[in-house]
Amino acid sequence: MSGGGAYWNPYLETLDRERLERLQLKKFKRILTWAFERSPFYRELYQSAGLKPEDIRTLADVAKVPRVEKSMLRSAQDSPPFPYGRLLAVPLEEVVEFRQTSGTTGRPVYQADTWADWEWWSECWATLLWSQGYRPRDRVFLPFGYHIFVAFWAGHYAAEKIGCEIVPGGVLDTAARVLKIKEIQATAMMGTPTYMMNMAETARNRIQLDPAGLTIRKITCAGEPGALIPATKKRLEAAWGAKVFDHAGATEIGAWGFECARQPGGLHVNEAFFLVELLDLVSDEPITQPGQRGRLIMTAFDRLAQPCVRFDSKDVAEWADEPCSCGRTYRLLKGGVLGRADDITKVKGVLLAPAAIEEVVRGFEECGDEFEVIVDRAGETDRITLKVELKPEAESRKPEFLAALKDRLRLTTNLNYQIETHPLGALPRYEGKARRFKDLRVGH
Amino acid sequence: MDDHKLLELKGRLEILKREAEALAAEKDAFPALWRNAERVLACVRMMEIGLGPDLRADKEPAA
Repeated sequence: MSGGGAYWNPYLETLDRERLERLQLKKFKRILTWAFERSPFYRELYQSAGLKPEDIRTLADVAKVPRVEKSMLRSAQDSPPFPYGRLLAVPLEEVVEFRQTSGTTGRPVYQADTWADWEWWSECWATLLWSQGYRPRDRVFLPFGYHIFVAFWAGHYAAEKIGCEIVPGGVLDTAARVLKIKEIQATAMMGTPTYMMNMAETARNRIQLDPAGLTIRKITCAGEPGALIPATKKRLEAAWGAKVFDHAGATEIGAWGFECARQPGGLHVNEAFFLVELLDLVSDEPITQPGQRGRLIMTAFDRLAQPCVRFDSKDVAEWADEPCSCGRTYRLLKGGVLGRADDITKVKGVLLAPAAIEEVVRGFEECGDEFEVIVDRAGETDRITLKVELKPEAESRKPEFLAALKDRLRLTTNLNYQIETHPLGALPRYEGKARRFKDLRVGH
Repeated sequence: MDDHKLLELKGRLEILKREAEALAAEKDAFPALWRNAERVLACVRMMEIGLGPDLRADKEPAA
């Protein structure tokens, strides 16, 4: 193999825990001081809480630092300098990259990056791509519309940094992208799990190509949790004849988590670049042991233009109980991101995570790749309608299939569903993040 | 820019290039150094282009 072993950065990725935590404390204090001194938003936040950077002496002290949420970032951007507002920690003329959040949960947050921040993005992504086996001989196809969302921009630059050959599949439509992969014999690609599924389906149905017969051997997924949902991963790997890896990140935070080539059933946290805290969903107490779900609070140690210090990502996760066999000392989150605190909703008094429905539906080979969940009210009662696509070959055993699906859903989620079947290809397809879960109840 | 200043800048660039090449040689041990150093070397190349080749030898010999 050309250049290097399993680690992009063997020094940081295998630091013993004691040294890693010392590094984290130093870096946390440094970014806290930077944010306090340079960003009016953070300075006011900390001053109103009576906090000074020198109050942080141990990692346990980090809990004293006020958390921030997306709504606070939005409000801070109402002030000058336009459009980044009081979050900005560098002179405007040092900003070289503009991106924004998708706006799924409200008005978008604008994100400023300096050139050093942009290099940092690609360094974080290079760590994860290298861990997944990307090497200079790879020809990487990027089937995404290069636009105002961060999405796979950093993946592009990281693959380039590694020395891979990049093929930007920007404005091509899905069929043209598949044909380009065939023509140039791309070996790896990146996309949301939904779109990777959609591309495979398009290859089979529109251009009569078996995607597993193409040359793609690695797929890096991001944007949605699907690549770590076992049934979805299995479908994707079978469809493409490739290893499928998950990655987690966010515009405001950076590329903080990755599944390595060992596929340990979870995400490594890139702990040399990020402090990831897990807090109890109700009490906000820190969770350090495996087996308990909490929300992730993130700090990016090295991002300067628009610092991210103790950001409540709303992602829900739990620590794994076993270290990964890859040798990295970075902790693992079991199953990756398990959902979002604001997606997990109560239906008929029962907590429901959409990812659990995905795991069940994608586990039935009678189902097509898409589905949709609608929660509404029927009189005084909550009602869940699950729309699935039924493959033509399964039509003859539809009653048995429906019974088995209802049964599995009840066992997994403790809820009953009204199931609608639709012809293959009838439900909406997505190029970016899918919106399969719709809660139509008032106030949701 | 006078020749003296140009020579000084080229000298600094030469030092930067030698150090970056040494880091880029860590190919098997440390990909993060190797590949970032390759990027530095690409920037060094642009600076070399920016400072131009050494033209002193092209001057007419003094009579």
